[in-house]
Amino acid sequence: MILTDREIRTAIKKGAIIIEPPPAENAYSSTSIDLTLDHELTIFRDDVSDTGIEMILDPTMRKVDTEKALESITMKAEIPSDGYVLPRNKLILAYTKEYVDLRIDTKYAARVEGKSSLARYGLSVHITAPTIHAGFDGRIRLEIINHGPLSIKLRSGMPICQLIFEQTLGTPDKGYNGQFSGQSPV
Amino acid sequence: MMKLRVDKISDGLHHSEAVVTIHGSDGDESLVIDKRSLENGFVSVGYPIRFEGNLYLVELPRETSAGNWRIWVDKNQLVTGPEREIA
Repeated sequence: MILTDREIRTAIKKGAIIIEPPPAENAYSSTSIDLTLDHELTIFRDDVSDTGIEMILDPTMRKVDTEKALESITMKAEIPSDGYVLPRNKLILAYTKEYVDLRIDTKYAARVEGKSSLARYGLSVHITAPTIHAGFDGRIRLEIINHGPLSIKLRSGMPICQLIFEQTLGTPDKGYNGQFSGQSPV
Repeated sequence: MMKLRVDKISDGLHHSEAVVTIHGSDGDESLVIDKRSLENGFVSVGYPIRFEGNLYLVELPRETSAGNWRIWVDKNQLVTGPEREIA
């Protein structure tokens, strides 16, 4: 079940959903909230493939710290005051300005989705991983790609994605104390 | 609610993130979390999902670098504690 704007406000008021800074009134639509783009970006370096050494990432290798691997092939950047120009076919990692917390012991999960106003230029904000699980807290990391025919200017604070909240049917195991009732697990 | 012991390795790609190591029963795994989730070397994991002897299956707040949400940990990696404080 998708939460309406009224249900989202109620959940925020009860502390079941936390969004900081709180969304402006015009960030709400009937069934979603717009989140905005943070000024910090992670940009994939263009020179990585010019070293003459083939690099292959194997995410199934348990010992590989993929975050460290990402760090070695990316660089941090900040969106300048006049905006960051995202070229065609370029992937960058970005973040929402808002911190989102879906409390473990509540019945909410969410999906991050693109905005149609940006999608029509070819801008996508995630790559097949839109689920924000119950219990998530943090800023939402976005995988932004410009699929369009022209470069697109990104500005810090622009509405970049929308969050759609869903009520789960029941409480997930990790928010439910029933299986340990009457006994101390630790 | 339970908290899982973690070791911070480094800052994450974003200033709000930290990379931590989780000591699972099958080996260590790294996890990116929000720094606000990190409380004196512990991260909140809710209630354990299952337990077998001294091993507890817990669900992490995010996917590990190896793609796992749930991980078996030794009992001594967990402490009881309140859920994250509401900011």
